[in-house]
Amino acid sequence: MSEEILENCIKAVKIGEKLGCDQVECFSSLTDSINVTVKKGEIKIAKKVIDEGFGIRCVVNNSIGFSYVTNPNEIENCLKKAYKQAKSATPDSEFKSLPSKTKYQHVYGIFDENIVNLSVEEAVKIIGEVLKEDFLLDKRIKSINITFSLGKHVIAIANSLGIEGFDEGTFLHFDSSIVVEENGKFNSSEDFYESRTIKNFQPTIITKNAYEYAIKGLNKIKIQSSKLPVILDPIASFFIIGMSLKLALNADTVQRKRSFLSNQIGNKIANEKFTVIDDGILEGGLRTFKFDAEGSPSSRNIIIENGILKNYFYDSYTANKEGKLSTGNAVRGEGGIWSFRDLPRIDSRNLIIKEGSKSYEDLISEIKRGIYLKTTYDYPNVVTGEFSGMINEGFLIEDGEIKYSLLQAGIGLNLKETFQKIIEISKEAKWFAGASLPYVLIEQANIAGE
Amino acid sequence: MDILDKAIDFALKLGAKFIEAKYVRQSQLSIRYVDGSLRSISSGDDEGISIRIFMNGAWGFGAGNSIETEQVFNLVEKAFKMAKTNSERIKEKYELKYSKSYKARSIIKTKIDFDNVAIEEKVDLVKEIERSMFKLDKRIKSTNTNYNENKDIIHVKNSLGNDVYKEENYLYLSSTAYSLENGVRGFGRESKGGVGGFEIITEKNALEIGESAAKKAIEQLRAKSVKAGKYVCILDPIITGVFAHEGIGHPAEADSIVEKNSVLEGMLGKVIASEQVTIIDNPLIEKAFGYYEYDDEGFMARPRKIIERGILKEYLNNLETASILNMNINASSRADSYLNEPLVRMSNIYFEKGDMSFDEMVGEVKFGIYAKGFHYGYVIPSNGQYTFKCEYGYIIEKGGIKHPIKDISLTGLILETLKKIDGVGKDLIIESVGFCGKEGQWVRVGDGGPHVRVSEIVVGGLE
Repeated sequence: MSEEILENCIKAVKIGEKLGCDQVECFSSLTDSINVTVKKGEIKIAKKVIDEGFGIRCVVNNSIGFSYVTNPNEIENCLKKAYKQAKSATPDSEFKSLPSKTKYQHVYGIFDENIVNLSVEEAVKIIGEVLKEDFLLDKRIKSINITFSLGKHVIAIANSLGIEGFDEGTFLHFDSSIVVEENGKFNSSEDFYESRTIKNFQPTIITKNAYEYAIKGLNKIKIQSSKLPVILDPIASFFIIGMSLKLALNADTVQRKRSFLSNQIGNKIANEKFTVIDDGILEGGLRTFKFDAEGSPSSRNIIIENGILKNYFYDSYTANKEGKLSTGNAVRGEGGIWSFRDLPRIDSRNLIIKEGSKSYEDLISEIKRGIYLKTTYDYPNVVTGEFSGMINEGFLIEDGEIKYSLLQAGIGLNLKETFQKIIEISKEAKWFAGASLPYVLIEQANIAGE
Repeated sequence: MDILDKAIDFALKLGAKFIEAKYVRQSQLSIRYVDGSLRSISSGDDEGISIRIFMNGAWGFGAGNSIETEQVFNLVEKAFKMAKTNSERIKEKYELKYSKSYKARSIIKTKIDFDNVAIEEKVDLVKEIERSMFKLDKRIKSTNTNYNENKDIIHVKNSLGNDVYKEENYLYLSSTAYSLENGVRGFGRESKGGVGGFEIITEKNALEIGESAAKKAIEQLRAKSVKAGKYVCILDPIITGVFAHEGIGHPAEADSIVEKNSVLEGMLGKVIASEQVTIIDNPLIEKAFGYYEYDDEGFMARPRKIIERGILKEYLNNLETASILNMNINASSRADSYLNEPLVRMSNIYFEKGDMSFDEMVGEVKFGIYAKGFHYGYVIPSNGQYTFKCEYGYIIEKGGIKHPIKDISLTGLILETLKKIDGVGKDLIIESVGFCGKEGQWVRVGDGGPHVRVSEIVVGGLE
């Protein structure tokens, strides 16, 4: 398999050169996955999906054309399309070159035979067992929704400058959401798990977390608008801090001056407790591969060190513009599956917010009055550096204890100020969407209530 | 297609009760401009097979890019095993049933095939749109425009006799403009599209997209924030369409009824809106973006009267939900590609026109809001609580349209708002070009309506 997928890429590159491309790249991916969906407490559908294809970039006179195809017999036709598109495009004077031939270091812990060997019946059985748990007999449960997917993801790349790469990893995603109802009042909660391996996968515990928070949140109160300290749960850390970093440190956004963190290298942009590493070669990392989505070597980069901004996320295009080396941050598609259907774009790899020393229980116990923010699904605006969103799931902390859940409250933050106000970070961290996220204490935020 | 027959025979031999085999080929080309320069030209060709097998209330699904017999049989075997293992655990068992099967070729006509127009011509068109936005006003600081053309071929066959071959081509163009003046920012969006070929876009209507987006962005610069409170609201055809789609269409999708996650559960035959309200979802509107003649399970499309003169009449059903609920299939099954199973979806949903003119509608308002354009929003299906953020709007005072306003977010409960509709215009427009997302699948949809007046909506938001 490995030889064949890379061989096809190398062949495609040779055809592209013959066609007259100045530079040509062929990226191929194969995703072979099993997916089980539970709705209303029953397994509604189980799926087996094999998705394989080739994405080709042709460069002619500094113009780029991109085309993809799923049928390997149509690769030549695909190259012709990409070539024709490049000829029709306007040259990009900022484009210098695709990445050149290089060596990759080996990465570890990203492939688990047990995931590949798991049969579809076994996958169904794992979820079937979760649904038998006693706590799910609680009459207040209105709905149990689960999605479980696992499989392997194989990638290969070749270009006319000698890049040749092959790598493969496995993945497992689990998402459990529980809706409860009591005396006409509804609440829901959700918990997630993702890993390269099946070894420590405990679907019952994840489902139980969702259940417990769903019940805990039934008791809702409205609060007055005020300024309060906020503890971000790892999921909320992702949507507020993680997304801010992903969007604002993208070198393309920075170069176009559309980021509030443009021109800030060397400056103290956050509290000294705040250190961020982006690691494309992390052992077992969900976003670990030997190379990035255009064949640049993956690497470990310090992004923010004790509050000081050290680096942005670069692909080869943005790195060439500044005469730098790519940081290996070219990805394709969404969610860690690099699809042949997509052009490369910039994103973080394994984004790690470095843990602190206190336990999250201690963080909560030290708050007299504040907010524990579990989920918000709003995004930061990195042009203005503002975050304003609904509190999807949040609780009032009083005298060191998580008490009522919040009804119809919002949160507003100025991100620049917020980064300086990160005063504590927990020693526990959780993986979500390819990022390792601790609990984070923000000294003060605007809470919009009544 | 031979391979579809082979797959069906093989599944029946294995012991499947129902199998559906589908061949899909999708080709697309997109051109993207940002800030007046070309960002990318990309294209793609997808080809694959999907297999769906049903056993006593459980589904197994297999999909792959190969159309070779060996690989397709492998998918059939996997789908069968999953359906079988699932069916042994499932508590609510049922059988699939329907009365009539269809054999058809549905080829939606195109006047100008995309392949007969040079890429250069398409690129120039997009470039002109971008240029027109910057030309309109110096305060336009940033823009983007996307051109996208698609050719879909779908051949679906099942073991109960459906055999439908479809060709559906469609195109859409959209522009966004961002304005800036003295630190105040605005933005505007516009799009156009349809099912058919390159004839959908002419130079004239293409340039209108850019101009309209840019004008909206400029208009926002002088808009004042609206004060929170309860207002008489006139909704423009775009928001009316969103209201029909989000507020009624999604809760009327019968999978949400089966899952007991819809505010419309148990409401069939009941009065749920004022008498002036009729809401229809109709796949057969040729000019609308959600046009189709057969759905992705191979059933013939027809209009669905969801609400007729205030009374809830019909849900949107596919093979699965109609079988569970013992209702009629009304061809509402759609999948975005061969990689996913079909779900219950809308097509073109709209408010039927009434008899009021826009001037009459505004003339009767002492103080209210005219809300225009849709930014984003959502509805909680289980209780019908909605939030819609509008692009911009105007204050209505003493029967006249006054100064522009922004940051308008409309909130309320769908079933309460529907009863407060006291005016429905005669100016029906179904031109929205949209993609509706559900469980990770995006399908093209249209929506619209006339201007609609609501006697009271809570206007407010986070700002």
